[in-house]
Amino acid sequence: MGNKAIFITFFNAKFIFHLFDADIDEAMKKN
Amino acid sequence: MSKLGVADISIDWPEKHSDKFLHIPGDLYKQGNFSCAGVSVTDITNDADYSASHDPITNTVSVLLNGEFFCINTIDDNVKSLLKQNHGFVSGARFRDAKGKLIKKSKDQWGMTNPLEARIVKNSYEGESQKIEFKITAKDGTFNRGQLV
Repeated sequence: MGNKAIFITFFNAKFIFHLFDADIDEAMKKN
Repeated sequence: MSKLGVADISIDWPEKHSDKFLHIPGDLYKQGNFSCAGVSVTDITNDADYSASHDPITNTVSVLLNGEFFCINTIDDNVKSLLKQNHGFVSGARFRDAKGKLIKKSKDQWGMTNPLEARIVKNSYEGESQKIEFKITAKDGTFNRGQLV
């Protein structure tokens, strides 16, 4: 029993995420 | 363009080996009526390359991940099954700003704010997912502020 840190290694993973209605720049200005 | 931090990306896979994601058109996958296990990307390490860029024309965020990212600290010794997992499925992401804070939407009519979310398939909460290959490792210690101590 001891502390463990879990890591994940990706091999050049690429995702394209579609935002719904909000413009991300606009959302960041409000934060 | 505002600077984005590391995205909050959940990677899921069936809890039971006998359960399978359905391969659907567009080289995507869909979860069936079963439970999933998974991990989330929570931080970058010194052995990783990361980029995220927003395209205002398509309202998409392109995310590139290469190398080792931190998921979670645990005291559970029973991580053997986790370490065997070499692929999973991603259906969406939430985004952090450069300070690591989740980016939230404007307040709704009840004054609530929810994190900004994006999906692999535009305007869909049907769970369409992209398959991804990876390697999971466990190291002794605790990862904190970019360091394993």
